[in-house]
Amino acid sequence: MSTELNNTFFPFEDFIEKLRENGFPVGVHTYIQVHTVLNQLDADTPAETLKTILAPLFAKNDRDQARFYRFFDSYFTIVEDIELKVLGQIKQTETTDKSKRKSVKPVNPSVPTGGYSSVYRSLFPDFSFISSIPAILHFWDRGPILISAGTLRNISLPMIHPDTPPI
Amino acid sequence: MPDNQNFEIYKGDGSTIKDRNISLPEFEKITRMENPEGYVAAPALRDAVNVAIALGQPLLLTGEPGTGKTRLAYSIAHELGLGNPKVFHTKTTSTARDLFYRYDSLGHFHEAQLRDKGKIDIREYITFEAMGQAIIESKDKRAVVLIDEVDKAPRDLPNDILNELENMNFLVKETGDFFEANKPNRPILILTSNSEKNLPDAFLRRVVYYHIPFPDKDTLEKIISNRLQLSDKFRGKMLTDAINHFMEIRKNKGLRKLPATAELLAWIHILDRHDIDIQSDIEAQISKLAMSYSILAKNKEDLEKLKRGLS
Repeated sequence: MSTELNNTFFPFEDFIEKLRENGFPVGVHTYIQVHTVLNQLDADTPAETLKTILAPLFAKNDRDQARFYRFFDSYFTIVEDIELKVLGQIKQTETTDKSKRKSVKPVNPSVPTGGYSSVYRSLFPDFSFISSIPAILHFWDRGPILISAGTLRNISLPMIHPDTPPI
Repeated sequence: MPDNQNFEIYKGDGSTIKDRNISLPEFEKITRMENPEGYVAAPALRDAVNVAIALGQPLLLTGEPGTGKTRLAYSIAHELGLGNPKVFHTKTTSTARDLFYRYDSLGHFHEAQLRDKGKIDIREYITFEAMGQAIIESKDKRAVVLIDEVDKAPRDLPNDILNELENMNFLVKETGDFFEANKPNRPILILTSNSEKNLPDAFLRRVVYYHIPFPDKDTLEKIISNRLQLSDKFRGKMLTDAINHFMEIRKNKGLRKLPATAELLAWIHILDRHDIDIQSDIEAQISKLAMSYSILAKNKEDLEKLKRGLS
């Protein structure tokens, strides 16, 4: 029996799971499609482009398409909000640490990257099996950083009803 | 009286153009209307096409008539250097077999009565259709196949072609010939639907989907510039005014049938050709504008609504 940990992850797994919860048809086939398409994209593909690239895989009529766009926007807005909060906390910690350390690289909280954090978050969709390992966020000017798993686990996304008006 | 002499070629009163001392102008084709180079795909549509190509799956398009669903296939074929797409126009009587080939059973039966049966090759009565041609030709080259208005077909058709679309193969039952696409040259399949009928879920699971929304003002301006050779006079403010007027008509006139891009292009062409200025309050101009509404309205009620808006 192999003792190696399962190291196969699907990007956007958490996002796709949330789509399934919101009534989008998601099958094994969908994961493969998403994986195939993402493999062909640059890592810095903007979220707006990801939205229009992924929508054709999940939408099956015009209402689905509009609903997918709204869902995508709300999902990434929430992730971005969390990033901003985390950055604020880091900045505070660094200010406190300033007395102890002479040179601290300044943080610009205006440049978090929703796409990166989402991918990293998708890599750890089930925190129960890695409960001691925090999730990772990535910031342009800092590289990967660690934050509490609990912070991310508590994210709750609104259910998007088909008739919800656009944001 | 407004002078619409150039426009009013046909009077409908028994007089001839000779009596009026004018000549019948030559038909002037609205240039570049059909030219795939003039096609403008919105970024989201472009993404959907690239997803379909990357996955080797059919792309199903919906959208109002005139939003460019059909023309997209020509644009893809043009940009990928694949010539013209192979087109299948779906009929209400179409069956799955029709997408691939047709068998002229009547002709075959007729010939069988007249000729020695041993000399008749049944293959002479088989004609390959768009999908069949693309699969057979994939031995040497790739093709774009357009299955237009797939929702017109009986519900059985989409269900009956699930395997064929996935595996890109088909069997000619009458001859036993089996054809399979050469994988690297898998045909690029574009399907359009006017959403008149719901397509089966099993079929929808096997396609990449995109709904083409109606273009915004900027995109419309780009489409017009690419498709029509407008006079210098009409470019700029006159064109912007015309597009705004068109958008206003779509939004606020409560028409039963909204004019789409195809109607807009024809209308703009006429406005330019006959120097019709939307903003003009000259009677002759208003009269010409009223006449031009025949392009935008698709029924009597809508035409009257539009004309009432001018009075």
